Amino acid sequence: MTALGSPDRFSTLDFVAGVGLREFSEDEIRDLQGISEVEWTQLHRELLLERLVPLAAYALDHGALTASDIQRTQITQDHARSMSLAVVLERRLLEVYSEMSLAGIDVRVLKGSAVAHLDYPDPSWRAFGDVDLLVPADSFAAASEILNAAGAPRRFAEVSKGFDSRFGKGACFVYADGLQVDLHRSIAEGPFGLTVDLDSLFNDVEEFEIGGVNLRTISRQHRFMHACFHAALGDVSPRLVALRDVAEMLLVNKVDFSDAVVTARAWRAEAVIARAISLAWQRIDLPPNDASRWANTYSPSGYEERALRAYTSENRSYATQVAAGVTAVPGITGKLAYMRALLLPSRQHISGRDSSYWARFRRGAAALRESRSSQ
Amino acid sequence: MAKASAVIKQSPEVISRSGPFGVVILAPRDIEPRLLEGSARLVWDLLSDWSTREDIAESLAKLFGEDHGVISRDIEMVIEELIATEAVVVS
Repeated sequence: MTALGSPDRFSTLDFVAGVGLREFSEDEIRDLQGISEVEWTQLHRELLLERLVPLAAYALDHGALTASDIQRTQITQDHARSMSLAVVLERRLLEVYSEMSLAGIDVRVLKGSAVAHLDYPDPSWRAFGDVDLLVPADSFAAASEILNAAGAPRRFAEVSKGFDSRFGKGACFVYADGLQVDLHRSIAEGPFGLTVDLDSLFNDVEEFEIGGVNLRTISRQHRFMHACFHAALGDVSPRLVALRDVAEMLLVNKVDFSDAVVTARAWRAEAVIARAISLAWQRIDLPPNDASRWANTYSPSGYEERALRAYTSENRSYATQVAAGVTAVPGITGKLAYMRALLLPSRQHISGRDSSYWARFRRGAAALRESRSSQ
Repeated sequence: MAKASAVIKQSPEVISRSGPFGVVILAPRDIEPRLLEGSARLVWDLLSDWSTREDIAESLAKLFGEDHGVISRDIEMVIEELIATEAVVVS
């Protein structure tokens, strides 16, 4: 049994992220009972931030973790709270999904709820904090209107009129009660989001059921691609739950890895899945397999390297990602339209993200410098 | 109040999650999620199939070796609340 605080090969947090993915020996069992209150407070906070409370609860249940009564009670209560939030979010999901479907919008559920129901042994293994929906680009404005009318205004205004429908990843809408809906046109911001074959996401459908209603989501293969995009590009240091999704889909759900590479190549995004798999295997300390060997030896193209920097550099920002997207927009006309939208943003967008045109100019100039220095 | 002989079952409209904490349910008439623990969870689990209160009380009486009448009174409130929030449907 390993006590927290000892020089472990990898942290208890990473260990929890891997529960259920591999066999563990008795001397790998983590003991939380001996740790100080300060260490426990820190670990507890990180479990919540990394959305790993459900996995910690199952680790306790299956004996991979041992804990004091107080620690066990806290984890159990947190698990119940995170699942309470999940059912509240799913009720909101049903309302929004139904309204969009009635309006004739071909909507798909993404991430949290769909992944919890279809990719984990039980939906209670996966916590999530918002509702994610994908709509066709030409329905983005109508879907936004539905959310506005339901009392969920956009968090940030559109860069300029029509930008979202043509180039954007999507937008976040927040209800008065704090619940959030992320409405997607694509699965990533910036260059990698612009080369995704969006039509294919709608062609392959899978369904799952909540409260007696069948909901449509993207295919298992595309959920894996999206999980990789989220893990590799979503944050400089990805949440462990995002890495767990990648590993869960490959190891438990047996996503066809060769097909995923073919799709990634078509989307000019092999570097994205390579980064996601590498990070997952490294953080969760999983035994090597074909996918991890491929990921660790994959050599990104010049384009991929430059594009990745917009997401992974210390100066990453919405501005750097969007600026880096110019190279991925097909055709001169498209590039000009993209640049025009960035150079002449709407006043509402400026006031939401920057205090003034001057502040935006300074951020844009910094993004440009960043983009140049990476070439 | 539904009759004791009424046949009842979990409503398919309930959104739920179960785990080591018990069961969290959000029924059509619930404003907030409801956490079912201990015997309330057992009642809920037994309601995954069509049952009567009598059947449920009998199952729990056998399980706990308790008096059938005592169990019946204990589960009465739980079941009434589940019916009131439409967490269970009555045949």
